Amino acid sequence: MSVGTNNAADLNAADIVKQALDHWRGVSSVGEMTMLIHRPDWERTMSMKAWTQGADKSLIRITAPKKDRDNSTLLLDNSMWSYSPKIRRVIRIPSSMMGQSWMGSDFSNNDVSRSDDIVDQYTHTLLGTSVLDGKVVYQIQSVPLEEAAIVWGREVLTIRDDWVLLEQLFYDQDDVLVQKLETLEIGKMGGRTSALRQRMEKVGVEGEWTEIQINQMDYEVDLDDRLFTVANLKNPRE
Amino acid sequence: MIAIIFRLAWRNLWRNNRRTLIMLVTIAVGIWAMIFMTALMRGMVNKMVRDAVKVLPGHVQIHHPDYLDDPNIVNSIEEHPDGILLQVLNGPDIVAWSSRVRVAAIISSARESRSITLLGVDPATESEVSFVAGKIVQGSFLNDGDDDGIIVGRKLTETLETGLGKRIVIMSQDPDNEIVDRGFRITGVFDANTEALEEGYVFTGVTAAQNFLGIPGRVHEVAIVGRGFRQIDGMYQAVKNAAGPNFSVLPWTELNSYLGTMLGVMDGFVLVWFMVVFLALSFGLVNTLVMAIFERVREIGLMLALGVKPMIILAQIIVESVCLLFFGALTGNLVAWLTIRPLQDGIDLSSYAEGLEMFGYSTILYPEMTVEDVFTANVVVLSLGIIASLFPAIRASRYQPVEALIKV
Repeated sequence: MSVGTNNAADLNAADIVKQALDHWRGVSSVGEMTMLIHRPDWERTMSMKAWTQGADKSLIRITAPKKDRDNSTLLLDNSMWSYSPKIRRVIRIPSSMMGQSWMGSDFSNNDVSRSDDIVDQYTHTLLGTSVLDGKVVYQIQSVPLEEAAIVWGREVLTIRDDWVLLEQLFYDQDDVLVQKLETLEIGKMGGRTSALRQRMEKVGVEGEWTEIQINQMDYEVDLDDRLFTVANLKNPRE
Repeated sequence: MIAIIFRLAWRNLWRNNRRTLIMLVTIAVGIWAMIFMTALMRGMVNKMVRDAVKVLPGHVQIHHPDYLDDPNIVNSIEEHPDGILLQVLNGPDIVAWSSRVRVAAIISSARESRSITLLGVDPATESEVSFVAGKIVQGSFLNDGDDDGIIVGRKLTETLETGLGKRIVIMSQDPDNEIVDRGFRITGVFDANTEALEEGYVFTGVTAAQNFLGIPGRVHEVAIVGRGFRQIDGMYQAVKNAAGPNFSVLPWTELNSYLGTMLGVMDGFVLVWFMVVFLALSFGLVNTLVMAIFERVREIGLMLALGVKPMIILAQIIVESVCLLFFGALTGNLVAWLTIRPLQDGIDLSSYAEGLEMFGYSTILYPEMTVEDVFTANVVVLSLGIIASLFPAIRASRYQPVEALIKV
């Protein structure tokens, strides 16, 4: 299957979702991004660097502001470790904390660590296609499998034919919209057209959202396996 | 002789009807208060203990020796006990027993997450052991151990903003400390009267829980129900001996030492309560008898002068007080029985429900009148009443006939 096919007919919904995820992540990537956490009475920005390899390895390191610098998160398979330079300790995130917020943002630890679930834990159906700015846009409904560890009733993904995720809506089981991931800016980065600014917000809670802005991204880079180890989390070589 | 003493005593009593009636009423009210209040307190404490035993659950529990100190998933035991332990468990002293998986877990809905205790139970045996099977208000209890439906408390469904038929996610850790999680569908909702139970416990089939957690054939506790929460010593010893040193076997009084202590305190408190009521009562009793004797000083003097022995005088006064006490106690017991009987179906305290639930009380209070308590109350009143009446009786028997006769 070639990337960039405009014909919806030879694609099923699951393939579209997989393509979009692969496109967003690449086989491996190194990126720099800024996260903006907005609350009604305060706002906070964090800069970070992220390395990913394959579906199940990633490392995120905070670079600014100074007081959060070097706080890092390592994801290996389904496990998550966090390093805090202030106490010089690596903490393995226990299951009880997986539902909690990641770095105080609107993303939960689960959102960060389980990106692959969207492919294999759901049944996808194509709701429809439309044309936006000359590009085909697929609307896909994803319903979690009966035993999947997913709390949503269903999700609706809007994916453009160049595999950019435009919007992801999270509905609860009463079909009420609870949470929304929106792509606010699309551009070329590291040779790929991708979402440069995305915003996650809870629906119905005014003024609370988290934005992730991608500043720099390189895909298909050679990464040392040692990068994704607990030892490296504590004593960074890079 | 005795017949005459009785006749005299009886007639003396009714020489002053009003005083005797007042005394009878006092004794009756005293006895009634003892029995009635004790029945209420017993009802309250016993209900608390029974509820607690259903939550624990069981009168005796078997665990891995380390489980109570560290309720970790790895501190598990065999699901199916065998050999001598199985024989004891199926013996006549044990009404029911159930093996249960018990781990800490997180339950999440689209809105909220809560930490809970996940229990994997076999519905066939569980329903005889714990509270939950009979308290299902929506849906139904599990069908069998393979049933992977989930039973949650009503309060928890409100907190999680979920409900019957919805999916929730349960997350825990397997023996290798790896995160395990999966979706479960709510197939039943229970109402436990207490919010802590409704928010704290979640049930699924034992095999389903084992598969989910990756601990096939393992459980964390065996809950055993005996013939009653007061008579557990024999059964407890039998199970303990049969289980051997590789298991920790504990009775409910140690598993929930607060309640165990409370039951002991309660037994002592009942006696103290009886004493307090009696003390108030005894002043009236002694006073009545003293008055009765004071009125009859000349009469007693005459009897003594005519040759009646002091012992007979003493006996007569004591018989008077025994008659008073006996009929007072009889009325008191009767009234207590008549007031408790209509309340057997329970006293509804739901207007104070919120405050009571906080203390783990249930909202319906069933008074419990026990033979032991009624017996103790009567024995206390009769025996101490006789002792109290000795004082005026001895005084009367020691009068000098001449002095008594000329007393004005």
